[in-house]
Amino acid sequence: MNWLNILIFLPLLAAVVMFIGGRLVKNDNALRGLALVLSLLPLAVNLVIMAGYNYGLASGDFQYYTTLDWIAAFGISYAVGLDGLSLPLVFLTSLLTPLVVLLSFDEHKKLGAYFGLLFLLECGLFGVFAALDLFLFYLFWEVVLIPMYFLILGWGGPRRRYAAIKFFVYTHVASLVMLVGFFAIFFTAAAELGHYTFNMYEIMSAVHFAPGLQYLIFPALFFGFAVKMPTVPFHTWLPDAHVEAPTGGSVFLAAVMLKMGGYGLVRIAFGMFPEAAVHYAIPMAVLGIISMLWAALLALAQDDLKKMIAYSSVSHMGLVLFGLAMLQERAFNGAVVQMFAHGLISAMLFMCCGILQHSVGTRRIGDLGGVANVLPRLSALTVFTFFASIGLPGLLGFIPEMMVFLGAFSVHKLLTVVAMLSMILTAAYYLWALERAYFGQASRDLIEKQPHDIRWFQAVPLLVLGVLVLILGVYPAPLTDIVSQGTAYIINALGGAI
Amino acid sequence: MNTITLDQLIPLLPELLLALAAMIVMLLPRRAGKAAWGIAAATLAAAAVMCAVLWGVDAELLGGAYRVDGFCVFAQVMLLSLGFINIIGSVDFTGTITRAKEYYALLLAAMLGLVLIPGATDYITLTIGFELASIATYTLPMVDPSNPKGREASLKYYLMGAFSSALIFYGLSLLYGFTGTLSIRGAAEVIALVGIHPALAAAFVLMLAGYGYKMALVPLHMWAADTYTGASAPTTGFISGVTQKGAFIVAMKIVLVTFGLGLSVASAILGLLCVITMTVGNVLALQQSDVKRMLAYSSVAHAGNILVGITVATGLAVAGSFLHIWAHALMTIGGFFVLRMVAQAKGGTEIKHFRGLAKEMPYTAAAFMLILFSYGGVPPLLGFWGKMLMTVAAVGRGGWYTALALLLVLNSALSLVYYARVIREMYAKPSEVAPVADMPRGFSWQGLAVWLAVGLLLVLGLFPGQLTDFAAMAVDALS
Amino acid sequence: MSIITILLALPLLGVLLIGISARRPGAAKFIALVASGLVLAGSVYLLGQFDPAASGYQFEQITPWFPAFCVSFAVGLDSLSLPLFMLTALLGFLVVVYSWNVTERAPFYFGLLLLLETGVLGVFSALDFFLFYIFWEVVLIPMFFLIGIWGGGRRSYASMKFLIYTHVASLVMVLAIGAMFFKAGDILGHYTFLIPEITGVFFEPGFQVLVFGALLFAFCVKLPVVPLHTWLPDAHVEAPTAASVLLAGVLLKMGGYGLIRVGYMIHPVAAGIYMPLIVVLALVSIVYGSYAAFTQDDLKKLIAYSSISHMGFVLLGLASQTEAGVLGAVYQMVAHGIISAALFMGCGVIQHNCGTRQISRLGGLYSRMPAAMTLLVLAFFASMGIPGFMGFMAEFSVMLGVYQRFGLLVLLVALGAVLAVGYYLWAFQRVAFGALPKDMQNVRDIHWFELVPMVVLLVLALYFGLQPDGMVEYMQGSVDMLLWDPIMD
Repeated sequence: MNWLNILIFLPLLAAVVMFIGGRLVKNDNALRGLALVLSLLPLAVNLVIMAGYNYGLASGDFQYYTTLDWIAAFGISYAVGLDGLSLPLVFLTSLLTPLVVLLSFDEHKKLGAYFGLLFLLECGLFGVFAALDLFLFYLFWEVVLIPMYFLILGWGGPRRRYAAIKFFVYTHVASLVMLVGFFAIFFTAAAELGHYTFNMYEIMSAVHFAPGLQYLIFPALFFGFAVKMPTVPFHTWLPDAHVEAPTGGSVFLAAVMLKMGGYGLVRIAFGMFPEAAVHYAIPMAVLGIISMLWAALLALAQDDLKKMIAYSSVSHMGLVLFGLAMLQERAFNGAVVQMFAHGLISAMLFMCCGILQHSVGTRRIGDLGGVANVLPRLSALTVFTFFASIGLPGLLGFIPEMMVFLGAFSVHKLLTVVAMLSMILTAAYYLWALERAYFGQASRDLIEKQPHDIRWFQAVPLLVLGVLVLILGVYPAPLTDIVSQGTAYIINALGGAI
Repeated sequence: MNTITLDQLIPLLPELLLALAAMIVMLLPRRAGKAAWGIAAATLAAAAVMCAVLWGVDAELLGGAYRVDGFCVFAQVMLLSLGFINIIGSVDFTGTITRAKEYYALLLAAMLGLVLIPGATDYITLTIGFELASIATYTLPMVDPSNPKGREASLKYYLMGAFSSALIFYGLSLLYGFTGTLSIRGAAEVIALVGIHPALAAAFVLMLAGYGYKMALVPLHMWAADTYTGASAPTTGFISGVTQKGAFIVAMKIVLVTFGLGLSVASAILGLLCVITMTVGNVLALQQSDVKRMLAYSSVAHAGNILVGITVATGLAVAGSFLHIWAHALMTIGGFFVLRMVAQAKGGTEIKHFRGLAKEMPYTAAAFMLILFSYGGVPPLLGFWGKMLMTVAAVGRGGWYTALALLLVLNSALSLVYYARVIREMYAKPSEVAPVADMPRGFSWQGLAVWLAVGLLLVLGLFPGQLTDFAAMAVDALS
Repeated sequence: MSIITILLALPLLGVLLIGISARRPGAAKFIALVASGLVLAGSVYLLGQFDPAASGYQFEQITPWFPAFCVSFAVGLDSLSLPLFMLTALLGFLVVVYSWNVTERAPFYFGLLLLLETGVLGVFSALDFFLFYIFWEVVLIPMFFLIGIWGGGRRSYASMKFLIYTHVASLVMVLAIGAMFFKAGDILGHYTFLIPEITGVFFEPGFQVLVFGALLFAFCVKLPVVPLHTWLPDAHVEAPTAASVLLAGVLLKMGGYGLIRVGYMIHPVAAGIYMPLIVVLALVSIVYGSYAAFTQDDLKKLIAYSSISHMGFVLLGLASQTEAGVLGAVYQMVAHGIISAALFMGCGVIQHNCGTRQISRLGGLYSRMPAAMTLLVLAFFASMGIPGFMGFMAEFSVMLGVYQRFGLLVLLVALGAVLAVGYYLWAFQRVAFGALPKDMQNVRDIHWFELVPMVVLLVLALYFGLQPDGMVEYMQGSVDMLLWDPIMD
C-alpha cells in the first residue's frame, strides 16, 4: 500500500461521505466546507507523492508501482504506477478539484450529490492516469463517464438531456472500439507470452507486435482516443456537452477529461505501436491541422462565449495531435506539455465564462458589450486568461506552442507553416470576442442589472491558476524536465521505428 | 374331451360373481333399489380384489376358450376399479331416478361382458363379451326418463352400434373363411404361414372399422359427441371411461396378436387413423363453448393418442397405451362428474358457468384443474406418463413413427390450449353466472368419486413405476 | 438422501403448510419467507461444501423411481448448475420479500411462488432426463397462473401464449430426449435416462445433427432467441412484478442451461456444425433486441427486449467455443439473472407507486422518489455493461471470446452494447427528469420490502463485477467440460 493507492481511492471515500452527508446535513454551508476539506486531502497526498517522486529515474520506469492479482481467468491485475507522463496530469486533476469545489460555492441544488459526483469524477481520472493494466484503464475510463453524465443531466442547461445522452453514447462508442483494440493486444500478448495478461507494463516490455498487426490495432485505438480528445471530425459531442454542462463540469471536461484522450494516445497507441505511429504520422498530422484550423474557424463564428471556448479547446487539442505526429523529440514533448498547459488555461477560460454567466445571466456575445465597465476585476482576469490561451510569451500557453512549432519546423516545414495559421485565427477570435463583449459601451440593460463583480471564492481559483500559468510560463523547466523524463522511452521507440 | 371341473372355475370366480350380482340386483324389489348401489359396488370391489389375487396365474380354462394370464388380470383389475369409481359417483344420480336398480343391473351386466374380453382366446368369446357390454350400455342413457336427450343419445348409440357389429361379424367371417379358425392366436399362426391375402386385409379393415366405431376413431366418431353430451354424467363416464376402453383391449388383441406386427399396411392405416383422430378431435374440441362437448371431442382426440401406442406396437408403446387408457378413463369419469356438479350448482356447463369457479367451488375447481392438466399431459400427473411413454417409444422405433411422435406432441400442445382456457376461466376471471341458491355443499358421492379419480391420477403419476411394471408384464403376456 | 432433495422438498412443504392454513391468508407470506429462506440457507451451506476443484457431480443422489422405464430420481450439482441453483434460491427468497404487500389471494400467490422455486431448482439439479423434463414442465404451471391471475389487462392472452409457446418447445425437446434414450441404449447395451451416462456416449454426427436441431429449437424458444421470442414481451408486460423477476431471472436461464447441458455437452460435433446458424441467431437477437427496446414506450417491455438482447450474448459466447466466450456465456446467465431481477423490481416500483409504466406518461420522478430512481439507474448501468458491474464482466468475456474466434464480428456485438446505453439512458432521462405529471405530485418513494431486495441484488452485481474470481472458480470446471470438443480445437 503506497500513497498512490490512497490517492486513487481517497476521492471515492470522499464521494461516499458527500452522498451520505447530502442526505443527513441540511446546512449548505456545512456541506460546502466539508467538500472543500475533502477535496484538499487528495491534493495534500499528491504533494506528498511529488515530494517522494524520484525525478532522476530512467524513462519508462514507473514509480509507486503496485500490482495485485485481480481476475485470474484473464490475467487481469490491479496495476498502477506513475511516471513523468502521468504525474503532471494527476497533479492537474488533484489541483483542479478543490478549485472547482471552491468555484461551485454558489451552487445550491443538491450539494451533497454535486460534490459527490465531482469526487467520483476525480477518482476515475486518477485511475485512468495511473492504471497500468489495460482492463483497469478501461474500467476507470468508463467510470469517468457516469459522474459527468449526471453532472450534465442534473445541473446542466436547458438542453441538458440531449447533451448528456449524446456525450455518453458518443464516447461509449469510442470506448468500445478501443476495447476491441485491447482484445487484439491481449491475444497477441497471450500468444507470445504463453499466459494471459492485461498488464501494460509487461506487454510493453516483453511483447513485440508485428508491423502488420500494429497497422490494424492502431486505428482502433486512435479512434477511441480521438473521439475523447476530440479531433475533428469526431468532435461534435463536445460543444453540446460544454454548452449544457454546469461550470464545474465544463472545467473538468475541458481541463482533464480531454487529456484522457491525449494521454491514451501517447501511452498506449504511440507507446505500444511505434511502427504504426510512424506509418500513420502524416494522416494524423493532417488531422491535427484540420482540427486546429477548422475548430478555430468555428470558434470565430460563435455567438455563445462558452461554445467559442469549447471550439478553442478542440483547436488546442489539435495542436497536441499535430505535435505528437511530428515524431520529433521537442514537438512530442511540446504536445505533452500542451496537455498540461491547456488543462490549466482552459480551466481558467471556463471559470471566467461561468462567472460571467452567473453574474450577468447570459454568455451570448451579442447580448453583452462593455462588460469591462461593469465588471472590471473579472474582465481583467479574463483578458489575462485569453492572452494565456492565445499564447502570449511569458505565459504558459506560449511554451508548448513554441516547442511544437520549433520541433515540427525541423521535420516538416510545409505542414508547420499551415499549422501556424491557427495562431492567427486564435488571436483573431479571442480579440474579437474581447472587443465585442468586454470593451466598448456597456448597454443600458447591463448597467441596470447591476451585476455583482467576481467574488472571493471565484477569484481564488482563477488567481491560483493564473499564478501557476505565469510561473511556469516564465520558468517551464520543472514541467518540461519531468515530461521529457516520461516521454523519452516512447521517443526512443519512435526513433527506432523510423 | 374338455370337462369343466370345479378347480377350473376358481379363476373364473370374479366373472361368476358379477353374473350372480347382476341377476340379484335385477330381481330386487323396486323399493330396495336404493340399496342396489351397495351390492354393485361391493361386487365390483370384491371382483377386483379376486382378480388381483390371481396375478401370476397362467391358466387355460373352458376348453381353451378363456385364458387367465397377466394381460387378462391387469385389464380386468383396471376395468373393474374404473367401474367401481363410476358406481361410487353414480349414487347421487341414482338417488334422483326411479330406475336405480335397472341402472346398476345394466352396469353389472356390462362389466361382466367387459371382463370377459381380456381373457378371451377366440373371437367367439370375445364377441360375446363385447356384445354383452355393448347391449347393456346402449340402454344406459335411457335410464333417466327426466333427461329427454338421453333417449336420442341411446338410439344413436344403438343404431351405430348395430351397424358396427355387422361390420365386425363380416370381418370375422372373412377371417374364418381364410384361416379356418377363430382362435386369436391360431389365426395368427395361419396368417404367418400363408401370408397376407387381400381378403385378410379386408377382414382387418372391417374389424378395425367395427371396433374403431366403439373407440370413436375419426371418421367413426359422429355418435360420440351427441351421446356423451346427451347422456347423464355417470353414464357418459361409463361409456367413455369403461366400455370404450374394452374396445381398446380388443384392438390390442386384433392388431398385436392376430395380425401381428409384421403387417406394414395395417400399421400405416392405423397410423393414419391416429393422426386424423387426434387432429380432428382436437380441432373440434377447440371450437366448443360447451365444456361438456369439449370434453367429448377431447375424448375422441385421446382415443387417437391411445391408438398411437398400439400402432407403434413395441412393448414400451403398448405399456404406454395401457397407462393412457387408465389415465383417460380416470380423467373422463372424474371430469364428467365435475361437469354434473357444476351443472347442478350453476345451471349449465357452458364456459361462462366456469368463470370464477375457483372462488365459488374451490375444491371442485382444484380437482377439475388437476384433471385438465392431466388431460393436457402436464407432469407429474398420470395423463403425462402414457403420452410420454408412447412418444419415446415411437421415437425409438424410428422411421415414420418419429413423425407420428411429433404429431402426438403437437396435438398434445394444441389440446392444452382449450384445457388451459377452462382453467384460466376458473381461476382468473370473476364469476359471471350466480350459483343456484341451494348449492350442494359438504360431502357428496360424486365428489368422492372425483377425488378418488384425482387421487389416483396424482399418486399413480408420482409413482408410476409399479403400474408400468404391471402394464409391461401384461404386454409380455400378450405377445 | 442428498441435501438437494431436502431443498427441493422444502418449498413443497411450504406449499402444503400454506394449503393447510389457507383460512389465515396472512400467514402465507411468513410461511413462504421461512421456506424460501431455509432453501437459501441450505444452498449457501451447499456452496460451502462444494469442492470446485473436483470434477463431476456432487451431492449426488440416484434413487430408482420408475425402473421399468429406467427412470430414476437423480439429482446432483456440478460447476455449471451450482451457480444457477444458488441464483434461483436467492431470487426465490428475494421475490417473497418483494411481494410482501400482496394481499389478493395471498395463499395461492405465495404457494405458486414456492412451487415455481421447486420447479426451477429441480431443473437445475436433475440428473435424469425424465426428471429434468418433469421439472421443466412443472415450472410452466405456476407461471401460467401467476400471469393469468395477477397479471395486467391482457393477461389471458399473455398467459396462454406463454404456456403454448413454451409447451410446444418442451415437447420437441421430449422427442430429442427419446431419440437419445434409444440411441444411447443401443450403444451402451442398457437403457438409461441418466444425464451423466448419456453425456459419456459419443453419438454419430448424423444423429447429433438431427437431435441438436430439435434441442436448439426447444431451448431457443426458452432463451428466447429472435425470431422465437414473441411470447416473452407479452408475458413480461402482463406478468406481476414478482413473476417477471423470476421469468427473466431464472426461467430464461433454463434455456441456456439446457442448451449447454443437453446440447453442447452431448452433441459437440453438431454444435460445431450449427455454429454459423447459432452465431447469426445470436447476433440477430443482440441487435434486434436492442433495437426493439429502443422503440418501446412501456418500460417493462423495454427491459424485456433488453433481456432478449442479453441472452443473445449467452448464445454467442457458447458458439464461439473459446474459453473466454464460454465462461462469459455461463457468467452472463448468472449476471443477467441478478441484474434483470433488479431491473424488473425497479420497474415494478414505478408501476406500483405511479400506476403506470408508460414512459411517455412519466417524468420528473427523481424529485419524488430519489431512492427508487437511484436504484433504477444503477440497475440500468449494471445492465448496459458499465465496467465494475457483473454485466460488464460477462459481456467483456463474451466479446473477448467472439473476437478470438470471429474477429471483427465483435463490432456487431459492440453495436448492441451501444444501443443498450442509448435506450437505457434515454428511458431513464424521460422517467426521472423533465416535467412531473400532475397526477404524480404525491407519489411515494420505494417501500422497504422493495428496497432491500434491490440493494442486495445491486451489491451482488457490483461485488461479482469487481471480484469475478470468486464465481469463476466455481464455473471453471464447466467451461473445461465444454471445451473438450475435438473439432473446434
